[in-house]
Amino acid sequence: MARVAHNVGSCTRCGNIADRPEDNNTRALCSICLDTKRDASLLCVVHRVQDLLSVERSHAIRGYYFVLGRLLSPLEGIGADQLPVEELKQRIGLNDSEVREVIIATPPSVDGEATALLLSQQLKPLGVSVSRIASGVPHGGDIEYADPVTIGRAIAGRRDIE
Amino acid sequence: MAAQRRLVLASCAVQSIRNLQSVQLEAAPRLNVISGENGQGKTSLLEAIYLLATSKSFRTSRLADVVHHEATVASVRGKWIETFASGPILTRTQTFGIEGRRRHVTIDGERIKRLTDYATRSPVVVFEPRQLSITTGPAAERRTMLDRLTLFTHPSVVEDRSRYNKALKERQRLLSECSSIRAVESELEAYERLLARHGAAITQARSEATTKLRVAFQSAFEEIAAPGLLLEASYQAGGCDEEDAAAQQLFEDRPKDLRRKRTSFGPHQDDLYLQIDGHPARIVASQGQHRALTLALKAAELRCIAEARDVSPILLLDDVSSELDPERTRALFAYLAKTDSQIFLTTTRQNLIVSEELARGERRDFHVVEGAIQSA
Repeated sequence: MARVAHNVGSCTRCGNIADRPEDNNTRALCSICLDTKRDASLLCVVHRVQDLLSVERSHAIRGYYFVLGRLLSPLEGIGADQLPVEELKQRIGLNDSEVREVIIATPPSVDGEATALLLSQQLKPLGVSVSRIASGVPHGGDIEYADPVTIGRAIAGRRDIE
Repeated sequence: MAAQRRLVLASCAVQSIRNLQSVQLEAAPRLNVISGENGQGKTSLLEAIYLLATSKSFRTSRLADVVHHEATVASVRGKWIETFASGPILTRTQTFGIEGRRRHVTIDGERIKRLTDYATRSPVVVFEPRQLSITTGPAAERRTMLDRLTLFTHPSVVEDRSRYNKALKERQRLLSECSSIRAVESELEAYERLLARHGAAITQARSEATTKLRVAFQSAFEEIAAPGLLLEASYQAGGCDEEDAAAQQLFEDRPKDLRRKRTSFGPHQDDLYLQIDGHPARIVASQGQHRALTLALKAAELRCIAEARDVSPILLLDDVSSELDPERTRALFAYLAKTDSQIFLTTTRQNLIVSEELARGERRDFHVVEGAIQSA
């Protein structure tokens, strides 16, 4: 256990869990950031590492990630200056960066929604497209049993059938 | 005005609610008169029915208060019957339980997670003396009334309301702790966008609910109170139903709101404005008129919910005859006879409640003594 705790750290690029490098001079990178076969034009922003793992399990995005670690919440004393906005801008503005689209996958809570709005307003000037994940009826869930809020959101976020 | 379906509470069993230790009640389909001296548990019986129907109390927001002082768990179980005009009959069993601060509600044995889903299944309207302040008291009481209506007419607005309140608190915190607007500009913009979005939904829902309410309100007032008086109910929006305009207003209000340390624009400032013959009811109405106004509002609430859900809500009347003169009481019952709502009412003077128009078996009388029921 102690060895695991010692050997595991955070990815210096995205915030995912990563192996701590043997010597202290190299920067830790996670297996996703080291994977060069991914689509470098896509960057998915999530709240926590657990959320990253869920999105990753879905195989819906084969791009890279950025873990915020926290959400905006003035009531809990977390303002914009405590969010890693500068780090995120740097990540997008890297010289070799090919990021074209940022997908914000923060939770649909009020704070998650406010965080998404704040990020989109900060990132759009960088010339990237910023999108927000939709929310709706869960797969395998019956519409009969879905609550009115979920159905309302699913209908508000409807789209043309191609 | 009869709805497509009639809703009746056929029976209920109450355990450890206030001073009611264990009470069974087989109700009549039209009128149930609960009599007894003060402090015997009449209102608690109505409260138990309200808990069963809504999972909330109309007497307190602290749910622990409703549990009998010697008990840790309290419950109400009831059998509802819904009869369609075309014939079919649906029955269901609902249970409400409370342990500590935890609520547990079920319909036909299925646990219901969202309380608003539960609360709209068997609609109920309550009238009790404390609500007489609805026409004179703070606007919050009138907003609550509109929100009870929107629960049925615009179910998804419940979520908008809770998100609005959360975002409002966040903006309040930003304004109260920042040194200047510049320092929190980006946060303000994010939360104001959410306030504008959810506020617009609330404004729209309340405005539409008021439109439905005012028609029913005017006719109920005329029948119950004074024909010839011109009554006008209008929605005074503290916000706006258009998201971008609302966001713009919040933006412009920033300096003012920073000074006042509160948000001055939005549906949390809404009011339902009542006028009699062109004058504010709050000022010109007499005591008797206020009672009639309140009753007319409740009658209108009943009718609007009946229209939205297509089922007539059951009606709980707590001690109305002590608040109304005999003539008004008669007018009220004449009005209620035209609805097909099942009624539960409490009174200290059982002989005042006359119901000649009801057939045998449509009325039942109960007498409450020290937390127990005797069929009268």
